[in-house]
Amino acid sequence: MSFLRLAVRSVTRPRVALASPALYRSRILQSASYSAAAGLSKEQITSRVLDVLKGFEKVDPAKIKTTLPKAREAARLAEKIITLGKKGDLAAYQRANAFLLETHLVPKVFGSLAARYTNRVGGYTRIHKFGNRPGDNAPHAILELVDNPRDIKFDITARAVGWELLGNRVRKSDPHSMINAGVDGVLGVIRKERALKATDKGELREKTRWSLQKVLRFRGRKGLSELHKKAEDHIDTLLAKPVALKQMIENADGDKSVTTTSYSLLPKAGQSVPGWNRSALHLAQGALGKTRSLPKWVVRRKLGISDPSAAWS
Amino acid sequence: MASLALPVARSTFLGARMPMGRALFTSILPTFLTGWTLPQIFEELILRAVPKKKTSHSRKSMRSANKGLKDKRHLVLCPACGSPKLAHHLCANCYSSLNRSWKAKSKQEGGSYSGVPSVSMDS
Repeated sequence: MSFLRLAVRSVTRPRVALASPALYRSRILQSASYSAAAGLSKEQITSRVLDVLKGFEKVDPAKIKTTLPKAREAARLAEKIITLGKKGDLAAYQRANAFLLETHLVPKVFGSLAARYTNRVGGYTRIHKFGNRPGDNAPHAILELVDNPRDIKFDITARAVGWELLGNRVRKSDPHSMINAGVDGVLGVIRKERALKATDKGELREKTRWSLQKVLRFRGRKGLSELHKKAEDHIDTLLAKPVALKQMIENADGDKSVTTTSYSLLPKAGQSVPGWNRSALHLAQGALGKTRSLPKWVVRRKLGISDPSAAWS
Repeated sequence: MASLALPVARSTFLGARMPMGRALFTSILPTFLTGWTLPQIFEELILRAVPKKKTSHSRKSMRSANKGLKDKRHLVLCPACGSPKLAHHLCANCYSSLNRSWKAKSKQEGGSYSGVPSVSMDS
């Protein structure tokens, strides 16, 4: 660590022979290949990617929301900088300092990020696709650093484990008795599933098991306990939500604010419950809808007319 | 169109005596066409591609048969909250609830989540 301090001191001293930051940055970006499908010039794309990197630290230092192509380019650049951080020598420090726009972040890259990713070989960023932007239908994405304190995949995997275990137990036992008792043995299941292979039979689905193994791979014991806690919290939330909602509606007594919030918390169309087997497409195509007595082609159904015979009157 | 070739050829041939040839050429033009360059004149006097008949309602409808809104069939249920979501995409329900919980936590800890991260060795 004293070497780092030395490196920092040497960098802050003014030097004549150092390459200009702009030149170095342009050299890195020129080597990247851009698909100018939108007709943007290379300069426009690089400036946009740099803007994206600038916004990296504004709200949450570990994730940004942007369009998918920009996220992909920014991920490449971010991973290269983290690689420099892992190298840790003076030359790498100078290169990282030349590239990054906020120089106070270089110690973070060479300190905490390098420590976080010592054992991980590449893949320090993760891109989650996140629908389309309403204005221009551009595909959106969330770019995040893997294993950061607010790792999205980690939280969602923990919740998925909780959901699945609750679904398995609910099928076997009565849900009303489960509300008080809860689900036991979650930690044991997580420990067991960590060691299982894809072909083995366990309590979790293959995909959930694989996600579990991936998020716990470089996190150690602390990660395991965090995941266990999050899964249990989610199970408690799932069991308590309908009960609390019912009580809230009963105790409302015409209080309008309570009723509006409770109705916003009610399950929406397409929402499934733990233990649900059927696919979302079934639901979307009306699996739980009303069954028609006459075949569809006999009666022309118009919007708003619930009774089929009314169409002929 | 072929009949227009003669005065044109003459003006391009007289390379050295350009002003004189140009004056000759412009003198034979109708008044509304003087001051135009040669390519512009060609464009104006030659007929361009044009529809022969109004496309019928039937043909128009057949062409736009493929232009309807397409259904999104890659719907799945989120493994964490059971609400419908697009396949291979992040669940909006889960993400918003996570964001809300992080915001509440940072409010509890005091102040907004600092944009400047602390320099530390752990996480």
